[in-house]
Amino acid sequence: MTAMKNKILLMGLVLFCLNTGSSLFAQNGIYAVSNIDSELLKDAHTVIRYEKMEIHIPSASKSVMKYKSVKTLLNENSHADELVISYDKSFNKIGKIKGKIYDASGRLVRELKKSEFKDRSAVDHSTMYGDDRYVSVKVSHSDYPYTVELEYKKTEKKFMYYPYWAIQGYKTSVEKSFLIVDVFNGNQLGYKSLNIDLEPKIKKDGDNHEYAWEVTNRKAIKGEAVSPSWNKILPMILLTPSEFNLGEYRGTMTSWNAYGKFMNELNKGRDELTEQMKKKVYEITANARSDREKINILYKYLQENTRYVGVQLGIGGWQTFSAKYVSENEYGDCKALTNYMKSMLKEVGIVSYPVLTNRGASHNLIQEEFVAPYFNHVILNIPSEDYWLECTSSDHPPNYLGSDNENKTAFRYTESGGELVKTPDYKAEQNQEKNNAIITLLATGDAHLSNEILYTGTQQERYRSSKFYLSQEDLEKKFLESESLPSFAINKYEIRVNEIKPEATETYDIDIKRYATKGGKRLFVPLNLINAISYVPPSTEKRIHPLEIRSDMFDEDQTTFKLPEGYEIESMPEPTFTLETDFGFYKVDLKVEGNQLIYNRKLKLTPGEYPAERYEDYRNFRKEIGTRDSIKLVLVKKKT
Amino acid sequence: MTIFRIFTSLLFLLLSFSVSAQKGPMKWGRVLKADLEMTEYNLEPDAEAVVLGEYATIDFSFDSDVVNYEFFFHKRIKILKESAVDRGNISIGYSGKGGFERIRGLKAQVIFPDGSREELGKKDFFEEKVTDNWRRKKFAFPNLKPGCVIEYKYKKISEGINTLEDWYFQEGIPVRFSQIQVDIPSVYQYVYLIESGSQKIEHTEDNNIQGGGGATSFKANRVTFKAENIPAMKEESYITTMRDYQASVRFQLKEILYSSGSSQKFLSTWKELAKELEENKSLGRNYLKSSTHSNVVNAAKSHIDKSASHLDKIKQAQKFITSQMKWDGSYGIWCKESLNKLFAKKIADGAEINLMLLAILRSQGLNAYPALTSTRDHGKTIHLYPIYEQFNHIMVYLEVDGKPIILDALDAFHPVGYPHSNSLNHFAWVLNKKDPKWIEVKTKNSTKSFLATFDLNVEGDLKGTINAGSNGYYAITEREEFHDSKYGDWKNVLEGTFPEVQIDSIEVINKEEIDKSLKVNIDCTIAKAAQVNGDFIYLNPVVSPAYGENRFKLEKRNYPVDQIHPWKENYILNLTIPEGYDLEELPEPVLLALPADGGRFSHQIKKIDDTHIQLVSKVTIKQTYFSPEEYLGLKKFIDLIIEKQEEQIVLKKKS
Repeated sequence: MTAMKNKILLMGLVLFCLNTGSSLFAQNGIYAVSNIDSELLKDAHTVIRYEKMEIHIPSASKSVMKYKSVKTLLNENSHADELVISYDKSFNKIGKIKGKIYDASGRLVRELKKSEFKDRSAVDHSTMYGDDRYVSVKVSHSDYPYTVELEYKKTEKKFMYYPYWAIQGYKTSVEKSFLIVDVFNGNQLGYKSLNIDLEPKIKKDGDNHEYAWEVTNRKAIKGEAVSPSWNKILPMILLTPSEFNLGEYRGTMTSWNAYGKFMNELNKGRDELTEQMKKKVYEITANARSDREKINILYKYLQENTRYVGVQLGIGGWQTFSAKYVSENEYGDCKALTNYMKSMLKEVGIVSYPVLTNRGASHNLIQEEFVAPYFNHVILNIPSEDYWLECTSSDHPPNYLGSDNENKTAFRYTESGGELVKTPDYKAEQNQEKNNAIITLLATGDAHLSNEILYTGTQQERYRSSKFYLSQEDLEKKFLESESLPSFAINKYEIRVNEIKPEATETYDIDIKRYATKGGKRLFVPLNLINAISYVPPSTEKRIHPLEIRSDMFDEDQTTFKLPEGYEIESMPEPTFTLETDFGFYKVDLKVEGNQLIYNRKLKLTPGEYPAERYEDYRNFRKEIGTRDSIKLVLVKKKT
Repeated sequence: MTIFRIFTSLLFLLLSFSVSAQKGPMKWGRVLKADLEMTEYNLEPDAEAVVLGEYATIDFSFDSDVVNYEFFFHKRIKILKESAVDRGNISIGYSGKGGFERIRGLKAQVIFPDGSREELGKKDFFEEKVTDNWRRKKFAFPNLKPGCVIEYKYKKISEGINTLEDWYFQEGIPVRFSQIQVDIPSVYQYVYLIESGSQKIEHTEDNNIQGGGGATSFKANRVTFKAENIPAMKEESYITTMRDYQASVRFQLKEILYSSGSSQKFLSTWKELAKELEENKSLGRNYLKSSTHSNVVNAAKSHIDKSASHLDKIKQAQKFITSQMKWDGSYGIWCKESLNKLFAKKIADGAEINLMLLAILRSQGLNAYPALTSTRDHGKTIHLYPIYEQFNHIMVYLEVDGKPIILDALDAFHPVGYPHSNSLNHFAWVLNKKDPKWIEVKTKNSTKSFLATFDLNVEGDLKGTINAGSNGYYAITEREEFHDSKYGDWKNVLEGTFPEVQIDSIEVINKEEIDKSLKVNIDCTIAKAAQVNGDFIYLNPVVSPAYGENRFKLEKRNYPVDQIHPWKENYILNLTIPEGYDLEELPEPVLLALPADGGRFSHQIKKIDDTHIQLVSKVTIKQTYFSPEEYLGLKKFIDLIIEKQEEQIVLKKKS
């Protein structure tokens, strides 16, 4: 009996040993860092060993995503130790979160505890209240390299936004990565690949269609200065549903027109103004002589009587609050304020349409051939006057959207559908800085500077906003601290803002100590301290990405130097210098008139896209400007 | 008649009772006509809004199992400019159920200039669950325009009787009236930490008060703090934290005197606090009881040379712990788990890592102690009372050869004796029940040296070498930069001054040996470094100035300048000028000093022979704290340094 028992026990023991994982016998686990191909280590901070996103969509109102990733962090620059899963409380649920840490040899160090995953509100400071939340965990193992494994499940109900698959970020290489989407028969899955040649394997069987993408052995991509935004470089697969539910509403995304119909339906009937408001609208526009004037009056009314307060709960993230809500509270978010403006215009017979856009983002994922709601903002368009209004701004002039809304592909929807439109692009001649300065120099090197500067377009925004939000004292303090001028005392400082046009004028009169540096009998006078541009993009060994230059501005400055008694010019640059390139032009003219030197400078920067080989040309252009802007005029005491 | 008399006397009783229960100087909804009509605040005409009144009371209650207090708060703000309407978005933070706080009776209303009003309803109040232990009640006042007055009030029930509520009299807009009134049961003794912020704060006490009511009434002491006409507080830079200068009062429970005659002390003496902290499981026990840290100590053994000097052992121990542990970026003084468990996790907060280092040093026979401090952004230390809540970080203190050393092992770049910048807050308290004491947290000088040897040619190009060295905080920053890039920050620094610089080679010495100076040798060519015009060549000889620009632009400051550590920058240039040129102009030498040797600047340029010159420019700043009165002197000092270091050398072609 005992012998038998022992034999069984022994057997069991052996079996147990055999079954407790190959780790006891293998040299290294499968996630050992030594298993990574050296090509994948180049320029990489992170290596994705394995990633799988499985999305199961059984109906238009439900989807379940199972996600698993295994990432190796090669050094402290890797951000893979911070994991963030965003979700919307009213639509999503996150569950079955698990995490593990492996060391460099692939051995399991530990499993993450549930308490390490924190659930936090993601409401930002501009939103009063919303359902955005996130689950996050900060993992660490101080022994680099190490590997982190993460798994979770995300259930979505009644939504219209499919995730996109970001195959790799900068400095991240990929060993193996999969995206699998299976949708129910009635739903046509829309997909598009960006920056990668990758088609899915499609399997259709009865009720379900399965789409599978696979990626193996992708080298890391370096980011470079002055390059296009990430959506033009990084490989991605975009997904979009054809049929979807948002709350109790149904819609389709088979075309922009169909999506427009849905958005219209969602926001219908919320533009009724109260009788009191109607009366107010007629009252204030009674004396207007044109539609344009009516728009300007109502826009001003909107700005002076409402403010931005974001409340985005559930469907409220997409569906606007009614005009009644805004007139009662005199606040609302971008959708509500835009809808309110639209309702007021409707009352005086002016037709306008909401336009969905992506504010502030450098990317532009919106395109004709792929319908997906990559929007975060709403503005208003009045086609009859070609007017555009930013309804959340307290200080923009009418028909001015601001630099964070300009030149974007956006979506305008109407009662009959919708289409893509382009928001106005502010060109260099509209974004100006024009300095008109007089600098009176003293033999001590001190100077008196009076300057009047006209700013237009994108260049006037920050002056306009400062004028609106800051007191005179704070404006002067800001001026004192921001200028690249040596210590000075303010005699006068003023910012004036044009009510109707995107223009602001800054006027100041100051006394500067040591504007010019003295050296024995010489004075070294900087020619351009008020508007010098010194930025030169860094040099690189071999550039990969094309250049994308976004600056679009035109500066025209005139400075009159009144030279001190008893001094003459010993050294000054050539009277005319012109540099003209694809990237813009730079022109300096110097004229001596008696004891005055008139310095005229023009700088225009033009946006454009160029192949990588042109980078040195661009650097040379910026270097030349930087060098010439820092030239000093040398004055010497006249010989008596 | 008798009935009438009783009635009136009853009335009097009622009146006097309601007087003592009065909720303060502001009546809900009753705004002074002058305030409704106000278009600007007479004391600060530029202000965008003004707090007309802010009033709170704290009343204790013994009605439930746990002692709690009710904090009643009422605030009224006048909106004067359109830019202030966002002040109508209110957020009230509290700990929620997890932290034993709850909010009740929240009311809010807008009163328009014409006297009409609009009250917010339940649907206007939102509750945000930020984390498990922090919530926010949020709401937005509707219909706000300049001229409106907004007010809100609420009650918060809390169990945090140790510190009650921190009360700030000052904020970003002027405050006309601010008062907090606390009815403290006589059995509780509190100390008050008052930061006057150069304002007049009135403090009155009345110990004839009856607190509570009904079954549990008690004798109480009414303490009132009041301030009026407080100016707006504006942020200034180069400061520890504005809160150190903000007019405020904080409360700290000192003792509870029971009717039986016994007492429970919350604040006793520094010695007693030291004893308590040493016995605490989450602090003292963790480094005093070997079972809690045995793994850490054992793992360190093989990395420490038993025969090494004390200082070397300390360096080895710090190197070991920083290679094993990653700082999670947070501060605290209580260990979340045993040091052994945290060591296994490889990540911990600042104090936990330093306590591991402490345990290792003690196991090596060194007399090391925890040095508790408050980081710069957390606020200044309080020496008057043994309040442990003031501390949020722990470093390590020991004496080697009679010299004090402070260790702060948060990353691998900071050598021994150089705590993290945020930990440098002037003082720390050594936790040693036999001899607790306050020590000054000082660091040695950080020095940066720059020796440039250049040849200048007739085109104005410089070609040569830069031999740079740095130690202390300069070296820490540079090592972090070299971690990210082959050139560290040198490319950016040189290209920033000379767009046409070309780095031919770069050599970095002692990149990992953090106890040694970091040395960088660069061969470079700087095209167009000098301005050439006709017969003249003009060169700015200071290729790497001490200051890019003077960040102190204002003529006056209200608050001190608190520079974190003392520093020195030495710049030497050996320049060979091209053949055929004369030295036409050289900058005059100068020697400047700040009062009490707080700083020094010397600038000397010497002609070695016809083609060689040497420039030596040195800046030393020893003083780290400058009062507002000393500010102008400091600003002028820096202005003069910048001006001098910008002076050019002029060369003229020989005729």
